[in-house]
Amino acid sequence: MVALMPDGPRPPNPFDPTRAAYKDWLHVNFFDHESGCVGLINASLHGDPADPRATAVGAALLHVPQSGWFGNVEVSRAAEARVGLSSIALPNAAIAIDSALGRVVAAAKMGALEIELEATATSSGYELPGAVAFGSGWMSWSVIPRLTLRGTVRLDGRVLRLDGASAYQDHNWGRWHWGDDGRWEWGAFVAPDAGPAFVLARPTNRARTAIAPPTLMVVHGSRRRIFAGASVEVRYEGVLDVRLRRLPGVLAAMHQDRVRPRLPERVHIRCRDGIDEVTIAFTATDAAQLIAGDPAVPGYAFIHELAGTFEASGRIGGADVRTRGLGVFEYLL
Amino acid sequence: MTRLSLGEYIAALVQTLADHEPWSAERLRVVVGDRTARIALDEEAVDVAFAGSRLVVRVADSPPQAIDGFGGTDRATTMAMMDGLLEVEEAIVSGRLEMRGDVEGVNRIGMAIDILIDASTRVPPLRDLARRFMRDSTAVAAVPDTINDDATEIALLARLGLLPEPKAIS
Repeated sequence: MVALMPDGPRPPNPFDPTRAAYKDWLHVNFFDHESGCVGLINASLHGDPADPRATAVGAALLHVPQSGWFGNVEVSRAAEARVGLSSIALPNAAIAIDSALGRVVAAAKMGALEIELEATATSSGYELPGAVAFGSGWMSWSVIPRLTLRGTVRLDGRVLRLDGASAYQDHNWGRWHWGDDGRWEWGAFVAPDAGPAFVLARPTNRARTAIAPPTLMVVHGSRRRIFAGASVEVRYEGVLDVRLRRLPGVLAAMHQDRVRPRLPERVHIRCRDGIDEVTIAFTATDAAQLIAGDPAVPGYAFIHELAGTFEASGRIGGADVRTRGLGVFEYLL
Repeated sequence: MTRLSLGEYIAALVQTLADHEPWSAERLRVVVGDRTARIALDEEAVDVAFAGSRLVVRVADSPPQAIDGFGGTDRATTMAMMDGLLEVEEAIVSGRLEMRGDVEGVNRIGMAIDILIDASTRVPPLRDLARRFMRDSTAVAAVPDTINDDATEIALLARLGLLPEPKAIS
């Protein structure tokens, strides 16, 4: 058991002048190495909780190799969300963090897709030491790079048991409006069993002309290494040619100019800091587009979830690493 | 709760927009101007126009020459698009969604729909109406898988009489 730092939603206080831009986002990914399925559950809050326009958005998606994406996104009123000290429960998706026992519990039901997860942290959590500038405001982030998993996915009568799968969990919160000139690139690449997990993150802008230094975290057993700044190179290759699943469908219908975005097919990450080095090659096989609309001001963000596989090699903490596994790369446009 | 007719849905959408985002309702009126659109869903069809600032929805009875644009589909297609299972482009090419009129008329229908969808991100009662529509439509048959390839597109062009005459070979 790995105890975690207490974590949970960070709603604004009533006198916060930026509360209209409030965002809070609990997120779980799971990777079933045996079937190749990759999934996610999100439970998020958008806007001033006291504003009747504020929304709570639940998302549950499952990518099945050769079959595509299943699941959906549901937008509710924020007042319909039950927000606890360490949990967000929406009508169709919920995530709770039990920091003392190092557990994350998540569940979702979207149409024919039902997911139930109970994950246990095998690595300690990490929280950014301070918020980073993002769009018109700021963003903060905490992450548990690797968790073991018990759970079940049900889809149209079929059952996928997730015992033996891996999970990743993070939490974003801050103040920004969707449609601001802020974007991020993020990836979680998780090897099977007790292999390493890699997490990439970097904020950028709409034109990708102001790319902040990236960070790559490696967790392998009890070791954790963080590469940052100039020691991390990220390079894109190719264009992913797939039919996107775009959600929510109503917003997708409005944004016909986003049907075929230019998404990378491969992501190459190379880290060298003079002590350790890691090379990761991620190949996307499919993508979904989640459209986030702001409840307070007109504006949208287009969050692309790229599912695929990766290979990694290098040297971490004096030990050679050579592995492969499943990954998700998130690319905002 | 009784099922709303197509005309009642349209009236409710526009009234809800006016109640919660009057500036968007004003944009809608400017975009529509003095045009009349015929909207069809399954067996229902209505003519929609503004008389000043007042929305007028009536059972489709205008002569075709009085209509500036037409948009028609069925509930199954609408549900599939709302669920993100079918793209607008796929619905058009497969013949499940029909838009007719001159470029200006069709564009104005699209802009009016965009204004309503955009406002729905900030106006929860508009999303309530969408949910009600989906509840009302749960009994409709699912849209079969749509395959859009060159043959589908050529079939659409042929249906619309837009294929060039084959060249005579001398």
